Amino acid sequence: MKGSFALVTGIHWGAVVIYVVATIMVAVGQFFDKPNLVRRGFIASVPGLTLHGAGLIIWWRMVGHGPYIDRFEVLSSNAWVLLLAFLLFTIPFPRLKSTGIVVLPTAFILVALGLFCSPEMKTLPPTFRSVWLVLHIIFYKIAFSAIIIAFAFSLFYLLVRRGRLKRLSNILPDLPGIDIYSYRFAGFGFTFWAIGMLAGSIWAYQSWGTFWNWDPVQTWSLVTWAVFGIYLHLRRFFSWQGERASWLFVVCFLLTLVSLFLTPLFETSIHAEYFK
Amino acid sequence: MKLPKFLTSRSTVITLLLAISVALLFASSVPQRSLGGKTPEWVGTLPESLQGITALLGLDNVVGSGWFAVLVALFWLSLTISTLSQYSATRALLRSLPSRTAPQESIRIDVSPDDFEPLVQAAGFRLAASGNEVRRYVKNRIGYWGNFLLHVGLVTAVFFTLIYVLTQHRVLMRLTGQEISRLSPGNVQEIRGVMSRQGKLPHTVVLKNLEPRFWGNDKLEYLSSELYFTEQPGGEPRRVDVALSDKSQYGPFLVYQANAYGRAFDLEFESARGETGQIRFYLPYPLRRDGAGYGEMVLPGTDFLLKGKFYADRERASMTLNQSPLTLRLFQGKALLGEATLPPNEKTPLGPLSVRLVQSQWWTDILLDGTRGIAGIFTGFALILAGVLSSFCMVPREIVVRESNGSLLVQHVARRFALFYREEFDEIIQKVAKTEDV
Repeated sequence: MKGSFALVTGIHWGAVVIYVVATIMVAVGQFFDKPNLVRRGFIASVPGLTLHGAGLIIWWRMVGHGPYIDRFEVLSSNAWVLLLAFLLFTIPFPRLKSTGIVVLPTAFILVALGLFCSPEMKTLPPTFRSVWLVLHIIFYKIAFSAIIIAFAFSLFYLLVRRGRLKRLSNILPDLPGIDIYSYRFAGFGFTFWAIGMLAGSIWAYQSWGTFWNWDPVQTWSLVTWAVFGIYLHLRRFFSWQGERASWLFVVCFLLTLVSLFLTPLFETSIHAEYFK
Repeated sequence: MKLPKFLTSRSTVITLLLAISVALLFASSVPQRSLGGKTPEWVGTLPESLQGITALLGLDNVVGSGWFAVLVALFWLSLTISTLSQYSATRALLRSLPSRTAPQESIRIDVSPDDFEPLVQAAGFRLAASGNEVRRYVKNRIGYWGNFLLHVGLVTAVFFTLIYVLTQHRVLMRLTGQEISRLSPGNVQEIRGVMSRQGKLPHTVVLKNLEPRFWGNDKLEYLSSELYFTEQPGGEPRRVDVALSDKSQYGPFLVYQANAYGRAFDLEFESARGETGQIRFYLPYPLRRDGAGYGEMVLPGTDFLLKGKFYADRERASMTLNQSPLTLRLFQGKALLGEATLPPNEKTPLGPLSVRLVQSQWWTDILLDGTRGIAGIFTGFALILAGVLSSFCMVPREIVVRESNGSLLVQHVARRFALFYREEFDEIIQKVAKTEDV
């Protein structure tokens, strides 16, 4: 099946509807302390993820390359990796389910945003043909997923500290627990971000014979990674925690958004083809 | 003081790190020799005696200098010794047995050691050491090796960085179609490390064919070059094909196709006084079928600025090269002196000059990289990340069991994120409580 725009966008809207339903079930279940509804909400997100994945595969076949050039495919695949990583992470870390009320809406908002960006079939520049490019992108998407989860915990910390989210007290860890989850997932994000940069350097060396050339995306990526490093360093060696650590993570998250979605728009970047 | 102790002492390591950092800071803030080995301008402004000192100290090529290589080598030696001690420390840690005295946070449970063992094993803990009525169970032993792996990665990365610094040899050359180019340090842009001074270049290279291909939306799909190298005068040419994202090996060099390409126009000028001169005008290839490739250059020996443009296709209907004429404009300052579109081989007036297009050919840039050590640097970084992953994501946890008056005192230890992993210990204790109830 070669597919068509109508089919792909139809499948994506179908996935959005399922994600919205799952979000409502999870949110209602969490706020009204109905664990069964929460569980069913997560189960409901699985067919959405499957449908969404099928849509991405059909799109991949249509355009002849992975989902890493056009805004629609970048946002859609980010949402897919986010949801998959989240569901997988909840297996060893069941407490993570509490972030479902942030992750699930983020996923459907990303897909919907992608659809509003008018999907286009972009052609692939000759330098974008390398297995290292695929690894580079996958690791950044995993890092982005871990950062969103850490951001959710930072937000929870700031809200719970101000007496909000009382209805979620049964499913959320205690305040120090929320703080440490945020720290933990920030560390995952930092590590996968580093692996993504390394894979990108190898790709650059394979393609251009140089592993770093300070284009805006690379520079901002390095700055973001360094700020994450400072965050982790402050937590590990200077006992930063709680409120100020959460606020610093919010800054890290904003930097992540700038790095991933704003800097690629600069014309001078070798990454200029991505996300235009 | 023994040498290993001296090399791994805090003051030595900090001094070395500071020296390397200052050197790199200097190299990134003061212009260095670029690809082409050209001496930076600031060196020329110095008095002659200082120029000599600058050359001796390699201040215009810090990363390629001998003293920088020595600093990196010393740092590597220090790291290697430190890594060996990390290995011994990790092995000792894995086999160590805690003291008989139980810390206050230990929990007393009334169950036999043999009944308790299956519960901790089911939770993924394995017996690491036992004796003197103490048992130590560990989960994620690999996490203890994280620091060692990180050190091995650092040693590998620094070692291969040293190799890179010593063997650096990069050559950038601009080739024009069908033309035999002699490769000598004078006519290519070259940068060399300390140990590649004698690195030999191929004798000649010819760009036989350049093939750009385009997508329907005019974007570049593929760019490849067919090159022929000869090793020595009169030698048999060897074909080497390269394309963007598809490098080739030639002797000790990796051959890369660069992004830059276009048309080289050979122009013959004649002044009103009958003086003639030839130039080669390199123009980049257009990016769109309805857009031109633009370029400009100062005419040698004059103050005339020559600006040129050409389209891929005369009809602007395709990105494929098709009888596209060259249009020239001649400026003096901001004044336009003349404009002409050149038919091939016809003398055409251009302001105070006349110009003839002798021929046009493809041009492209090709990079030869004979540097060694890149794969090792990447491997080093991969090991560093493996170390970080294993120590951060696979945090080792321990359960220490001490026999005490017919019951057990159990203690949960996590090197980091103890709170995070407390629940797994609580679950084990709950299971013990259920066993006791039964």
